[in-house]
Amino acid sequence: MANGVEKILDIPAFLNYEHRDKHGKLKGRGEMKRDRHGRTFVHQFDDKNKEISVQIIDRDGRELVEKKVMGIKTYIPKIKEEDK
Amino acid sequence: MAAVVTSKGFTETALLMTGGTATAWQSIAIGTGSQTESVDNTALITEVAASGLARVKCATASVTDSSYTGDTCLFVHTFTAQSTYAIKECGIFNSSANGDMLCYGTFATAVPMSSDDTLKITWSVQVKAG
Repeated sequence: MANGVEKILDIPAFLNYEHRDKHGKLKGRGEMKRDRHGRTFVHQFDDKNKEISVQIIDRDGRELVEKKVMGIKTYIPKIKEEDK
Repeated sequence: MAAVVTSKGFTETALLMTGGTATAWQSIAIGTGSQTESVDNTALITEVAASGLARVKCATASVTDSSYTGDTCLFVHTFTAQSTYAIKECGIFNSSANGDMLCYGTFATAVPMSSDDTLKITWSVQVKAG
């Protein structure tokens, strides 16, 4: 710690994949991205390279859902959304 | 689909940072089982040993730039199936057999591999400020 500021080392891992047939045609793929808040966005694409799902996970591994509150995009734990 | 660095991965990283004896992460394995991603994961649930899909040294195991020069480990390998498998999990290891699993991840849905299908996997592990 220097000047009261603790620097934390972070080691995020991302797993991306591409599944193709023997002719090289895309059958599906997935990719992970992280925002500056540490949320991981897991995108799934079909054989037309069209996005079919997005899963959002926080630093602690909890799944989140996107919600707009007064026009501002926010993320809340999925379980809370399901309880409503 | 999620991915984690395991406790063994952190240990190996600390060893490398202090000049200790650590073994490079260069082998990749895939499997048909799955488990909740956790730092406590030590192995794949059901590692595939079949020809074309068995654990292998990554075609690419190098560093690349993300936030800073050379701050990200990049592991890339393309598997080619010779039979039908539903691939659900993947790990990076420091040995061609057994060894320590340094990262673990699962796919959101099983990847349905048919004969001659290819599966290109890219792992990136960045060392950065939190």
